[in-house]
Amino acid sequence: MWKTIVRRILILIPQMFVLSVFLFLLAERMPGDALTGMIDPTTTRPERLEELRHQYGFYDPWHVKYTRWIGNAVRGDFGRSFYHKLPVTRIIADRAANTFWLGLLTVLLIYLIAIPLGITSGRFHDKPPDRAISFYSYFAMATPTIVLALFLIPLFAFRLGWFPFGGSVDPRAFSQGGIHYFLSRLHHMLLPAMTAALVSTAYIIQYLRSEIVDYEQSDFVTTARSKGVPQRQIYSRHIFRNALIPVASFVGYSITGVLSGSVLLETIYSYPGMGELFVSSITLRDYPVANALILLFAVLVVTGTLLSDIILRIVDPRLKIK
Amino acid sequence: MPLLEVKDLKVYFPIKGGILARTVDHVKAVDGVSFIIEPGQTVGLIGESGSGKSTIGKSVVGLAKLYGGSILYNGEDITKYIGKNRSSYRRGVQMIFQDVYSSLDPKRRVLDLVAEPLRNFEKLTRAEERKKVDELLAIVGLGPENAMKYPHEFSGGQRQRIGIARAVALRPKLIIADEPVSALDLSVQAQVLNYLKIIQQEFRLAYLFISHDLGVVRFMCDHLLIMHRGRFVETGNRQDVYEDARHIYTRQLIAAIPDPDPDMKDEKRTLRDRVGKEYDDLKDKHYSEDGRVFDLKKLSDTHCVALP
Amino acid sequence: MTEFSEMTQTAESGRPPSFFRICRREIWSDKFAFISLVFLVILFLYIFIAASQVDPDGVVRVNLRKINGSPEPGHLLGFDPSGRDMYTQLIVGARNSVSIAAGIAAICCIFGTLIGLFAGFFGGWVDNIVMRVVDFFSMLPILMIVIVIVSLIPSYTVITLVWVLAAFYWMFDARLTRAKTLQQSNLDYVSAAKTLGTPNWKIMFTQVLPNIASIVIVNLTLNLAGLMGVETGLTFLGFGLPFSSPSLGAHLANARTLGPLLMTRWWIWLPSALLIVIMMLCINFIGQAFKRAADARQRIG
Repeated sequence: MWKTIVRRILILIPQMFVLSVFLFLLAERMPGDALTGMIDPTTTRPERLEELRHQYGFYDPWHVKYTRWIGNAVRGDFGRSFYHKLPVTRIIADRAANTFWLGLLTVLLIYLIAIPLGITSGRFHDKPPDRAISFYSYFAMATPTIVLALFLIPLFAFRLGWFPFGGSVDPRAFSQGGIHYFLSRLHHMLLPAMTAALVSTAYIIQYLRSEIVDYEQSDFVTTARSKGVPQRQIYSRHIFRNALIPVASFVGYSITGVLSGSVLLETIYSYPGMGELFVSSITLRDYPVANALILLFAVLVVTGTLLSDIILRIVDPRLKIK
Repeated sequence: MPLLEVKDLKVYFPIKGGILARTVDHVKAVDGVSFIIEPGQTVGLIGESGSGKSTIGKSVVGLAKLYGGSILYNGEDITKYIGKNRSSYRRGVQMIFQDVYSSLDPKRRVLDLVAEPLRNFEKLTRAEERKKVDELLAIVGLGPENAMKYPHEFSGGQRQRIGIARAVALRPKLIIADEPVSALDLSVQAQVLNYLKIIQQEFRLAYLFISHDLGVVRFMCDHLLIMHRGRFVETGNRQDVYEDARHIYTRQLIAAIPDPDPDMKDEKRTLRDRVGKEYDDLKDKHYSEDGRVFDLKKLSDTHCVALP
Repeated sequence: MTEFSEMTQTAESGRPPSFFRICRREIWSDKFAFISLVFLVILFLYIFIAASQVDPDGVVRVNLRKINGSPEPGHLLGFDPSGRDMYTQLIVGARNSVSIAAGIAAICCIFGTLIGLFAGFFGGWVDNIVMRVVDFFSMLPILMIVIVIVSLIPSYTVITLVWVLAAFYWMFDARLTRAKTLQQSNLDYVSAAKTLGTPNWKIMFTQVLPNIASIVIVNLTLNLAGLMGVETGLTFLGFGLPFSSPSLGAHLANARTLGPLLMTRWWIWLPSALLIVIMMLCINFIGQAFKRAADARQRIG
């Protein structure tokens, strides 16, 4: 078990290396250099600028620059934002918590919706409840997040006014602090989280449904039935438990999915998270920020996938790495 | 001159282990076996599943990579060319597969299946090809109307006969028959075996007949190779093996042959029990300390046994 | 039940239960899939014919007095925030979105299938390299990287966008094809073909490929829907199609500028939103029917 995990992590090291080189080369192609974030080019003499560039190693060969860049990145130094003239790390740190809480709420909602619906769908397959749920999951698969958001925003935020639109917290609640602050945060996150969750559940629902239907025909369930185990118990003890085990491992993939979805979701809802920061920094040509975010997201995606694999191995002993 | 001579054949599969997935050890599926097959001869290769018998067959036709040893065909060392298409060896040595369901591509007609080797090696016109395919189908007792059908329309026995027709299409000198009847119903096993015998006489074919069942092999084979744990425990002709088995493993296999006579049932069982006990008692004398089979020792011109 | 009818039918016709035959039956027996297919064919025909009739100048013709103008006779869907006729924008946009998704799906399918086929068939170091590359691509935050690349390319066109997206989405097809090829390569019919002297490339393309074609087609269909979503999202964020090429995502992006007027000026985004959902829904229904057909085929084989 530990060997497997260690091996998976060891395989990651060369992959992360290649990824960092790739991102570095991408960053090299981006306009601007380290000085752009520190100096106002209009007030500095060109000779001085050139001097500084030499001093900062702007003309070094790429591998030297790469080593410096990755060394700084590991220490959490991603340079300075061109636009805000602030360290990239600080800008991202301000947004990271927002994305984290929104992501957490989304993943929670996904499972709160998907597990009951998936179980119902499988338990009563080909009956009206299953039909209704399947219908919903087909729509969920066919509706892009943006489209759903465009339907939900006018209804819940504008017409009914149940949820605020934009931002992550009410300024008044911010000053009140405590429980008000928490509730305001939650209030701001609910609609975006709901939007993302509603379109992300389909896969888990369909998976659960087909697992349950398969297990119903499996030999051990037939045996249990012929022994006279009550129907309720067959489902609760034999079918649901087995069907739900692999779902636990989807958590990692859900995190990955929610993260990649955050770029779109946060932009639609003007929610000040890392995804929104990414889009705005690209628009502002603030490449150090964008680049650091890509690296961060890649690390998070890899961690999510690794987490899923490890959970799956823990919960399902049948799966052994070859 | 023997048709095929296999010298000290070794097929090892790597075991990957450790954190870096390096090769830490090998599974010695076949560990140094030698045998010869004369033209027109049927050699039986018998062993339990996992003994390495199928691996020998596969390595001879080039489906498994050799770890060591050499293979001579008509006296010529062709070890390097195994698995390559441009050699007379490819045409001369063919294979019949055990799984009659997966060995025929479900998407192609019998005509295309049987004509496949012809298209690879012979330039025939469409009419010639069709004629040849009909001939081949006739040899295995299938009418020409079957040429346009697809594999799923045939029974297991018929499918195996199609497999045989493909294997003999290039007029090979040797056919590796890897448990050709094990997947079939008992009722059609004899039928397929008869076709194999008829074809052998017609084409003067040699067979390497791989089986786990000494009973089936008895009617087919001139020479027998008994295999256990990747090595031969006993080799010899029919007489040597069936009447004068020396190795306890061979004796056990013979005791396990089912007897169709119900009156013999009890006798058979006591025999099996006795041999089983004998095996347990004498195990240490027939295998080296680490469980390896000893090298073969010559008892007579035909008979060899692996004893210390 | 389905399997039984398949067996009897094939026995009569003599052909193996071909994928298309089963697809036809699956779609016929699934009301939703059948309606979807008919509807989608009509819809696509209409979009493509109508878009080809549109006057190219009319697409970009701006009527400054009609910015966000409401529907009126002759302009049934009103005007967009640039004062262009919304109906024309919708038709041309739909055509663009569908063609782009189809183009990317086709490129990914061709390259992914070829690469997967090679990796799965030959195994060994070829497979190792391909799988490492695929692993690498699958840990990238694709959407973000595509956005960066698009923002770095100085003058990009529809074709550039198609290739950039294809470059990051082929590995899903490659991974699937590889897994299926690996499965097929271990079957005896491949070994048999090898011993009969059939060259490897011939085994790959004339024997393995036909046997995995059904899965490739299913995947192609479902990818089409997925990629329409991707294109819409990119264009919505402003990193998809250039302003001069209408696309459904761009109409949704216009909605963002409306704020609280979202509902009152519905004609700007609602038709596009509905069209996306309907098209993706139909494609998914058809894809699911194909998927069932492919499964049944495997059970019989």
